[in-house]
Amino acid sequence: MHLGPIFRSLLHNKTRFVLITLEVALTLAICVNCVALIGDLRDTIEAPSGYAEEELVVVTVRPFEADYFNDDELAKVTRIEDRRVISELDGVDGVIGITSIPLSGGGSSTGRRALGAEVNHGMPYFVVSEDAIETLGIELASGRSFNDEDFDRDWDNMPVILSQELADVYYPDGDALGKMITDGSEETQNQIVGIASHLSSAWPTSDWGRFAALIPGDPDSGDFYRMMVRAETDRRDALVAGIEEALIAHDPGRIVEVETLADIRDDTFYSTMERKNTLVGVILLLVLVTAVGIVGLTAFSITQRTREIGTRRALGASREAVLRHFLFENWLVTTIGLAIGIGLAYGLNWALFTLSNDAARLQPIMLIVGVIALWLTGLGAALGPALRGTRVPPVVATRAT
Amino acid sequence: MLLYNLRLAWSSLRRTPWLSALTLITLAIGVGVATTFVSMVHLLGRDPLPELSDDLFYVRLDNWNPEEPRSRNFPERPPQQVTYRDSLALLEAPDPVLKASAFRTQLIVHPDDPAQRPFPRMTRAATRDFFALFDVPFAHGGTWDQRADETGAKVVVLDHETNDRLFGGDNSVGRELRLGEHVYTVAGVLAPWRPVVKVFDVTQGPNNEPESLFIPFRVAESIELGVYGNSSGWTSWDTYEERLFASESVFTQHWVRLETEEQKASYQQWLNEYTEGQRAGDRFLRPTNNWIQPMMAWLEEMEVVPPSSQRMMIIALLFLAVCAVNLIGLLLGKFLARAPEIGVRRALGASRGAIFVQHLVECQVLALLGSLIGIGLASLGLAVLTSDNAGEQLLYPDASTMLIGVLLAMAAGLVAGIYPAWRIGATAPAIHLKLQ
Repeated sequence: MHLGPIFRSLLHNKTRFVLITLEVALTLAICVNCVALIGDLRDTIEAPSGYAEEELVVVTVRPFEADYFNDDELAKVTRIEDRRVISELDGVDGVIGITSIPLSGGGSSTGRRALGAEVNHGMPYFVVSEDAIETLGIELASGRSFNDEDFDRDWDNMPVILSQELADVYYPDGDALGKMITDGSEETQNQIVGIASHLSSAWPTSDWGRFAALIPGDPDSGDFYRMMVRAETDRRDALVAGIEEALIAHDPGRIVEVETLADIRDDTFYSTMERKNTLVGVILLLVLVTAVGIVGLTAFSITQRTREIGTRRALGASREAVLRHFLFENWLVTTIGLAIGIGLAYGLNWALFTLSNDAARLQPIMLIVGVIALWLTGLGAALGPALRGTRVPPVVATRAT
Repeated sequence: MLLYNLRLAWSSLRRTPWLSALTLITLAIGVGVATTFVSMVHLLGRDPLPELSDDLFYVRLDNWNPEEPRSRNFPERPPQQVTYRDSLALLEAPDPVLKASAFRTQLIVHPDDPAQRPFPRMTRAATRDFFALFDVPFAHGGTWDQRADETGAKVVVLDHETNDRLFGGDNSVGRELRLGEHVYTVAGVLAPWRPVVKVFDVTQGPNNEPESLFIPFRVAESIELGVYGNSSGWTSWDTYEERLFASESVFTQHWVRLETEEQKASYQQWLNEYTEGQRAGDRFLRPTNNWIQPMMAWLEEMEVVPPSSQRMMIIALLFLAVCAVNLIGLLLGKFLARAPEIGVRRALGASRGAIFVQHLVECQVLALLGSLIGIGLASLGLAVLTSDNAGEQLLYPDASTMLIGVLLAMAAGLVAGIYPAWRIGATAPAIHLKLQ
């Protein structure tokens, strides 16, 4: 390979050289940052929630008769009765009461700290009735489910089951099981009786997505109450209509809303998914535009150098030598562009991070993949025009001048 | 001269249709992507109430725990909302020209028609000047009277859609409607109204839909209205009454209209005197920190333009830059291919400047054509990206979108065109004449 002519011809075509370099550099910087953002969004979307998402159905009951609100005992019986009605339906594997819906975007949170700690950390929580762990499909990493005695305690001393991540926040040494958490007051102390491998909060797309607690109790949200039903997979969709019918038939004095947890989750993740798809679209378009640009510039430069090629061919250069020349030249320019692009990528990442500190940080692997992908794109884009260049017959050199 | 240049540009575009098409598509894609995100940020971030915003202020009082601030990351910020009892007190302030307190709740609507099942409707409990403060449009009737505010009377303002559903779109003012356990009288019906930014309550997502029903704020004192909006607190309560009158649970928003600096100063003093007075009752134990926050500052704090959109805008502008670099190459090829022809023109007396201008005009013609397609793409982009999963579109392209598209396209055309136009202008006529 003769490097001399390649460098000389590069210097002779500074414009083209600068343009391809710039284009490749910008493309790498943008693509790699998009990939970093996509990676972040994908982590959020694909993180295991801990719930049997595809088998759960969510029921919200809004009573509107005065009796329910005026008689606490009746209200409690109504809630238990509803769970019984649902549990008798065909295809129901379990039903629990719960205060708000995991992954729904709406819920409750309070503050807790380890004993002796200075400040509270937010604790998103769900109050659940008996059998919640089994019905929701939660896997315990350690500890136990709630037992009957747990439900008899008073509110300030209810035991809790925490997500692994939240347990690690309160007790970073990994010895949270059996320890107490408090809100800072004397009265409130909750023992951590179980730790769930995964347990998402009501806000899975937020910073608090992985922090959640379950508290045993009788879930009642005032105006309404909620239940979650574990359904056999093939009966789930039929149950959505079936549950509403059964509950209204049992007592028409309320509004019943039934949805699958999968639908609720998809709603919550809708904009996250959309952001991810947008970024994927931007990357594809960008690579396309860059490839078209390289094709155009290479084709143009080869047309311009037709006579030069003819001369080289006439002086004995083989077609392969001409092809090698163009491909190597292209590779060299692309590589310089990529080197600059790595710098630009970090610059852009810094700018995006300054804008809001939830921007994703670059990882070296992304740059490596990006560099390889753009090398291939560059070579692929240059191949066509370069092959055309090799077909220039030596006679051209003699003709034009 | 411009006409001549335009004619030259047109014939040049037609002579190299493929190259022109490629140039046009590159430009259109770049402009389309950039315009989509620049407009999105513009449409989300612009003043939603340009006539009113200068005088509109959001009131925040620091009633939080003396041990720790509401927000650890921003300890200087007071809580985002105020308690019910403080909201009532603020309604007595003498300075504001208009003021309103409000919170979000839900009521169950019982249609007269027994065939229709009752249905829930998001409801805003507000004081009567709420509608005037935010310029809410009425189709029939209007807000309730002062007395209804004071007594928490059972009156209701319906949104357009609920009025259609319940009363077939008739003027229902004066008609009766059962909401929950009680019968309300319709005081007004809104005209169709879907603000992009829910200015009056951005605590649960700035682009949410407004509530469907509006009832007097103090209905809460006779009926237990559930709080369906953002709520937080640092003290506990046992009963609803305690929550309203003896807790530090913040869930109401209080807005005021202050028209002069004197009013502002005097109101600030009034607020400070109020919270300092409350200290006797062991409240407001943190250092006095009461904010009269301008509307736009509050919206900005609540990230009405989400950082993710700003990020996308930067990425999209860089995308356009790549397209522009690409264009430089394409234009260079296109222009230099007709160097011989330009050589003839130069030899016949066209100046360098004339050739340069001619080619820049050609670039701008391309840019304008590209911007047309680009704006079309951006409209599509906005429709796809700002529609919720039910398919309802939030942001619509308007004149500003078109302007953004044209400006971006012309800037890209100019940036991309200058060098190629200069190169072709600098062509020495002799070389090309010789070749002929």
